[in-house]
Amino acid sequence: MVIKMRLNRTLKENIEGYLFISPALLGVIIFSLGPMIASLILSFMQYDIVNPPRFIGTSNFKALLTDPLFSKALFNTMYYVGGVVPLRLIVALLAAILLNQKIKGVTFYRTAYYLPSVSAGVAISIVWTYVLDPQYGLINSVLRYFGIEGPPWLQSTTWAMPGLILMGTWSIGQPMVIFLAGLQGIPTHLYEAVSIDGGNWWHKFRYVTLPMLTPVIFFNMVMQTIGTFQVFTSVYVMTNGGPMNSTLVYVFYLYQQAFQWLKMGYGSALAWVLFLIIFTLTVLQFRISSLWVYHE
Amino acid sequence: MLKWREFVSCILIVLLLIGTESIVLAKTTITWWTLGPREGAEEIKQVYEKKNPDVSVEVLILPSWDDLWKKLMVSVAGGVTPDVVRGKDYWVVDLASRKALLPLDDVIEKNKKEILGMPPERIYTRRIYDLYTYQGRIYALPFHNFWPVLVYNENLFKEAGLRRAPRTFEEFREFGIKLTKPEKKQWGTMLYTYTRLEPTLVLWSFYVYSLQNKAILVKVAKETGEPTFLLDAPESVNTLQWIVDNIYRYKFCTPPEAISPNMIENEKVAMWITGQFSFGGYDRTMPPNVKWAVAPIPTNIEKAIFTEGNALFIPAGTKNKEAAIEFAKFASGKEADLIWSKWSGTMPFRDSNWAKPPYSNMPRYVVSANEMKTYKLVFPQYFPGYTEVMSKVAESLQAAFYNKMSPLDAMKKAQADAASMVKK
Amino acid sequence: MKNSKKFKTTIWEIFLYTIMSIGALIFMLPFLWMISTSLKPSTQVFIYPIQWIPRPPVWRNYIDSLRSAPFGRYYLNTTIITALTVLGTVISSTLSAYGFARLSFKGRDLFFLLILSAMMLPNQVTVIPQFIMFKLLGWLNTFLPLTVPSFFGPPFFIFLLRQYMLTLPKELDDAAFIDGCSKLQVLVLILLPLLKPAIFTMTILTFLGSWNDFFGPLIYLSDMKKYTVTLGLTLFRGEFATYWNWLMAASIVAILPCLLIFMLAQKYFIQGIALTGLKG
Repeated sequence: MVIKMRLNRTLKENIEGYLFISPALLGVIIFSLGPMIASLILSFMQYDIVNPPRFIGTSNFKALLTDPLFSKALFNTMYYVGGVVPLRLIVALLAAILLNQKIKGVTFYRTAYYLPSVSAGVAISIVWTYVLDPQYGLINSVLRYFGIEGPPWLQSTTWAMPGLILMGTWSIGQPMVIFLAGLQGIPTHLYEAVSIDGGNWWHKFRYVTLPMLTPVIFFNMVMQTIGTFQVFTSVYVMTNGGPMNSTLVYVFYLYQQAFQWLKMGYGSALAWVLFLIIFTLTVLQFRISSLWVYHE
Repeated sequence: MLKWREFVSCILIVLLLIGTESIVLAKTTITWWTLGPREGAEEIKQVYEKKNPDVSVEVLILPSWDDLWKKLMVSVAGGVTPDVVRGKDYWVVDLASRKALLPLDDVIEKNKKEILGMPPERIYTRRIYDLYTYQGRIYALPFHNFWPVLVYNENLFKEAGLRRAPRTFEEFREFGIKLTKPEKKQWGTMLYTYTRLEPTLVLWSFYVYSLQNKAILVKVAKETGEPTFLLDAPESVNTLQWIVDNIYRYKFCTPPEAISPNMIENEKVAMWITGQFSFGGYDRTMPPNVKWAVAPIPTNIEKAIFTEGNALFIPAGTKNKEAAIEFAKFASGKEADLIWSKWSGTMPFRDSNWAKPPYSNMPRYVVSANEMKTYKLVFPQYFPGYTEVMSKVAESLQAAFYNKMSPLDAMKKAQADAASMVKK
Repeated sequence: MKNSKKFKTTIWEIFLYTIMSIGALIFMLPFLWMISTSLKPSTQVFIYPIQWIPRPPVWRNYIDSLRSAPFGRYYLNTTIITALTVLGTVISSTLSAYGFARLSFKGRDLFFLLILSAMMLPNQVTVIPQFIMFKLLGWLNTFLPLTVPSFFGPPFFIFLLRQYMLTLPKELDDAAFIDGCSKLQVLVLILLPLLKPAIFTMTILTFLGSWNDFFGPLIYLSDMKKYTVTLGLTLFRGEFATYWNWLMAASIVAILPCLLIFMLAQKYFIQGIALTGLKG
C-alpha cells in the first residue's frame, strides 16, 4: 500500500512537472526541433536553395577540415568570445552595482547606461566608426593627449578585432539589467546582519552580494557565451570580415556560404560544428556550476 | 408586407451589384520587389496602374541588396516567389544557371520596338542584354545602369593651381601629387572601396583602371556560359602595380590606414572615381561650401568604361506570367526610366531620354553622356558563381592595397583561386 | 575625527559621481549622435569632426520624416506584435521556469538542456525550414510567426527566471504546501510578488527585442501595410544614399516607447540598498 502511494506521488509529481513545462517543451518540438533536424539533414546535402537538395554524404564535413577559412573563422570567433564575454560581464556587473546605489538621479544614470540597447544599430555602427577613426576618433584623440599614437583600428589586420572587442564590451545593456534584477533580489536583512557583525562594504560584497548573485552570474555567463559565439551584425555592418579576413567571424562566414554563395548544405555543416562547440561548452559550464553557484 | 418585399429586393439588387462589380474589377495582383527610393517605385506603380486598371501592383521596398537577396532566397525555397524582382545585374546569370528565372527571349523578340526603342537605342541599350544572357537565352530586362566618372573638388583644384581634371594616367599622377597635402591630411585621390569584399571592389577599385590598359578579367564562352580567367595577364598586374605605387610610392592615393569617415564631404580628397548613383546623395549631403564637378575618367592606352546596374527578372515559379512580363516591360521602358532617374538623381540608361533637361544641360549629365558616346563601352562578363569568385578576387586585391602582397603575387593568387573555384 | 570621515565620504562621492558621469557620457554617445543628427539639415550630417549642436536645429525633420511614410500604421503593427510577444513570454516563461526550478520530474535537466540548445544553432540555417513550416501552416505574411512562438516559452527567459527562482527560499513554498496550496497557487500567490524584478526585466528585454526585431518581419512580412517600425525606418535608405537626418528623427520617435517602458519599470526596481554607505 505504502509503495503504491509513493509511486503515485512520483507519478503525480512527474505529471505536474510536465504540465508546467509543456509550453516550453511544445515550443521546442514545434518551432525548433523540426528546423534543427532539417538543418542537420541538410548538412549532408548539397543545397543551393533554388533547387532541391542532393545527398552527398559527409563531403561537407570533409571539406570543413581542409578549409583554411573555417579555422580562421573559428579562431577569430574564439578570440572575440574570449575578449568580450569576461570584459562585458565585469563591466556590466560593476555598472549594475553602481546603479544599485541610493544616489541622486539613479534613474537618469540607469537610463543612460541602458541607452545603447535602445539606440539604433546603424547609429551605433556609425558612432563607433567615428570613435575608432585613426585620425580624429575619440580613442586615438585621447591616446594622443597622452602622447601615444593610436593604431589604425578597423583598418588594420591586427587592431580590427580588438576594436570590435571594445565595441562588444561596451554593449552591456542586457546583462546589466539582469544583474540589476539579481541585486534587487538580495534580501536586505543579510546586509544588515553583516553591518551588525561589524563588516564594511567589502564584507558585504564578498559574503552577501557575490554569493547571492552567483545564479545570475551563471546565467549571464552561459547566455553571453552562447550569444557571443554567434556574433554577426557588427562584423557584417562594420568590417565585412576584413581587413584580410582578420575579423571573419564564424556566423558571418556561415552566412556568406549559406546565403550569399548558395551553399546551404555547407553552411548547415558549419552550423552544426558550431552547435557542438557551444553545446559542449554549455554542458561544461553546467557541470562546474555546482561548485560555485549558490541556490536554495 | 410591401416593405418586407422591398427590403429583400433592395438587398438582392445590392448583392447583385457587388457581385457584378467584383467580377468586372477582378484584378490581377502582381508583386514587385525593389529597393528605394520609395517615391520612385510608387510613381512607376501608379502610372502603370492607371494605364492598366485591371492590374494591381504590390510594391515591396527592401532596405538593401543583401536583405532582398535573403528574402528572395527564403521565399524561393518556400515556393512563394514574387512576380517581378529588381536585382543586381550580376545575379541574373547565376540564378538563370540554377533554372530559377523565366527566360524572356521571345518577349523581347516580339516586342523589339517597344523594348529596344524606336529608333533603336543607339548607344548601348541593345548590347546591354549581353549582361543578362546565359547559354544564349536572355533572362532579364534592364532597369537602371551607371558607369564610372571622375568627380573632383573644384576648390582644392584651384588651390593647387589646376584648372581642369586630369585626362591621362600621367596627369592623374601628376595632379594627384600636387593635390596631396599631408599637413592638412588631404589626399589627391582614394579608391572606391578598400574593405567591401564584393564584386564592387574588383570593378570600381581596380577594373575601372585596368580597362584603360586593355585588361580583360574574364572571357565567358557563349554556349556553355563557362568562364576563363585572365587575371594574371601583364595588363592587370601592371595596373595593380600602378595603383599600389600611387598609394605607397607616390603617396597621393589614400592608404587604408589613413581612411577617415566622410573624407569627400570634408574636403580631404581632391578627386575620386564613382558612378552617377552618387549624384543624388551628394546633392543632399555635400556641405554647401564644397564645389564638386564631373569629368571623364582618365585614360591610358585605351579609353574605356564599363557599366553596371540593376535588372528586372521574373522568378520561374511566378503564377502571373503574362501580367509580370507586361509590368516588367513597362518598368524597363522609357517612361519608367525617366521616373526612376528623377527620384534617384541618377542618369537614365536610355539615351533617347538624354535629349530632355536636366540630362541635356546639367554638366554632370552632359559629361556622363559624352563619356558614353566617346569611350569604348566594355560589358563585364557574368557567369554562374560570379559573386563568390569576385569576392575571392577582391581578397587578393585587398591584400595588395594593404601592401601585404606584391601585385604580381596577388593577381597570381586571384587567378589560381578563381580557376579552382570554377572547376568544382 | 568626524570631519575627516565626512571628508573621506565626500571625496569618495565626488569620485563615484565623476566615474559614473563619464561612463554615462560614453554610453550615451550614439544616442546623442542620433539626436544631434536628427536636428541637422542634410548638408551638415557628414561634417567631420562631428558638430554636435546643429545650427540652426531643424525641428521639421521630425514632422517631415514621420509624414513621409505611414508610420502611424507601422506603430500600430509593432504595438500589436510586441504586446502579444510580451504577454506570451511572461506567461509561458514563468510557468516553465517554475517547473524547472521547483519541481522534480524525470528528465528535467535533460529537457532543460534541450530547450537551451535551441539557441545554439545560428538562425541562418533554420530560417528556411522554419519558413517552410510556417508556409504549410498558412501563417506567411501575418503576425503569427512573430508572436505565437513567444507563447511557447522562449529559452532565454525560461533560463533567466529559473535562475532567479533558485535564489528564493524553499521554505516559503513548503509553508504554503502545508497550508494546502496547489503548485500553481504557490507560484502565483507566493513566488510571483518576489519575482517582480525578474519579471520586469523580462518585460523590458522582450519589449526591446520584439520592438527592434528586423530579421523576423523582413522574412515573414511581404505586405508593406503590415510593416513594423523597424522595417519602416529602412525606407529612409535608398539604394545609394540615406536620408540620415530623417532616419534619426524617426528612429528617436521609434525608441521612445522602449525608453518609456524602461523608465516605468524602474518604479518597481526599488532604489537599491546602500552598499557603500552613501547618502541618497
